[in-house]
Amino acid sequence: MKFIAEKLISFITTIIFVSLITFLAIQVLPGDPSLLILGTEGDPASREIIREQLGLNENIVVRYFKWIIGVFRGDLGQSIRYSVPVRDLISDALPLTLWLAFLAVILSLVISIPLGIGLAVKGGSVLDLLGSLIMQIGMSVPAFWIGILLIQLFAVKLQWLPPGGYGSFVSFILPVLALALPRAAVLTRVVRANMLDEFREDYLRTARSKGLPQGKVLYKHALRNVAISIFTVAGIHLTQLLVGTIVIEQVFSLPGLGQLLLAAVLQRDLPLVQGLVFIGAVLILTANLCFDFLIAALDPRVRFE
Amino acid sequence: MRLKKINFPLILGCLFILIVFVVTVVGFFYTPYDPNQMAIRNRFIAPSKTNLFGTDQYGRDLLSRIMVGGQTTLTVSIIAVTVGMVIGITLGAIAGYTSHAWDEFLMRIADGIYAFPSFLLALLLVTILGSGKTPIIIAIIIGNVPVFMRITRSNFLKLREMDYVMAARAIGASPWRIVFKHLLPNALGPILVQGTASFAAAILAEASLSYLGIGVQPPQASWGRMLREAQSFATLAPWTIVFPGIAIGLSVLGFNLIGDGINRYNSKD
Repeated sequence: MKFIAEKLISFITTIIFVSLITFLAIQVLPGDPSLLILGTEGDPASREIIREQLGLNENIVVRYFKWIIGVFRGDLGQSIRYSVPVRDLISDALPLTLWLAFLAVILSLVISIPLGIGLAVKGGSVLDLLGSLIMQIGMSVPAFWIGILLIQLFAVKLQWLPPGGYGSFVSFILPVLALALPRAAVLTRVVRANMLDEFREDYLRTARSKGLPQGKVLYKHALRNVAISIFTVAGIHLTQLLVGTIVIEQVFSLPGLGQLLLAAVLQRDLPLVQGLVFIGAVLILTANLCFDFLIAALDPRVRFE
Repeated sequence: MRLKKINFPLILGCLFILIVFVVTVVGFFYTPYDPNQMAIRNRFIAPSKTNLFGTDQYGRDLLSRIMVGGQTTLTVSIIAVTVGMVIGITLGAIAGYTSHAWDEFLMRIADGIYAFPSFLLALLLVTILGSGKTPIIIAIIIGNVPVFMRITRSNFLKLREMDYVMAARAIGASPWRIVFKHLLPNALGPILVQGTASFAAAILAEASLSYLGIGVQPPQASWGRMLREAQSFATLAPWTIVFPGIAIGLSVLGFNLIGDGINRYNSKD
């Protein structure tokens, strides 16, 4: 219980902190946001309208509380460019991004767990060395470059898959691959290293010596203990995946949160940027919290630390 | 067995970084062609003797652009990581060696900053400051400070209880001497490993942001930006996407390998 309470308190304080940063960055630092939006050529009258729209003529503390209360009611303000509530724009784009990140996490786990175990079993051999080298390369190339190469190979040359856009499930395959491959490379290394540590443990020797088949030893005994470190790393990767989707959506022209955010940044749509950055950070923090709880559920030691 | 003694990751990593570094530095003084000189007649020349890496859609020499593009990537990551590292180590040392109150205070702030994804921070800063190198550098610095703070602090907390540090304190060594002579040198290994990881991450971040079109602005070259511009011509001229990608991959791989090598070196003794 104490563990849950502590995690929840730090979760809430971090969210308050994040809301302060997003709010202050957009509203206070840059001088006059109406100038940012209209440029220096904007005439005073239309600047006054923008200022009124953004509520800039009020006290800053009042503005913050108005904003944060609005956020809790599901009101993130009005987008300047699209003249639509920010909430609607975000809820339209959110599912796509979440699916991308979720599928990529699953795929990278599906690839890395058997591969990491396989490399660990062959530990020290040429195969293991070669595998480690490939993993090093895999985690070093940018995901968006893999995306561009995948388009060239599977969409242009072989014409098996669409080069981008958002149609059916098929249009998800390449972006998810591009996102998952570098992550899988890192995870494979984690699985391999932890498995090798696990092999030295007594309980595994016992399991082996009483004649359990290799598969059962690996997947029933060792993997259960390695799972904790896999989930710890996978949690960190979920953060990077949500960020990575911003770039990958651009490569495959998918209309998710990333494209929305990028357009908002380039057009200086301040309420939209503010809403997106805040929601994005909250998403990542929530995902991390879930992973923390998941790890604690798997490993009692974490709860009592 | 002899093979195991040689630290291959370290050697290979240093070699890659040396290559990238030399090519980039030479680019300050000499490039085969003017990297921004457009000549439409020369567009899409495949890699050949005259243009080693070929030319792009404006007929600009790709090798020259990669040499100059590396300057953007390397200056951004060197400045950002070094500054972030220095600030992070200083604050981490304060948290790990002075009072408990300072520790609590500083680490609370570090946790808050750590939780804020630096990629989102970069986008936030671009909205405010406009596109360019500055917002990217600031975002990478802010992202790195809590990381180095945590590493320095946790190592200091561990080391300060060691007998030799106690002994130094007992014979009346000043806190400065203890920090610089005893704590910092022994905490350097993990800090350096994190440093290589931070360099790799900074290069990837700069490339990604430039690819999104919010890093350096044209005609200035940057590896990520080159990939953005080349993507629509990838079928016609594959070399325009291959070489900038390799340049990014080689730099990141180099730093990752060095980190691996240092880790291996440390775990030996």
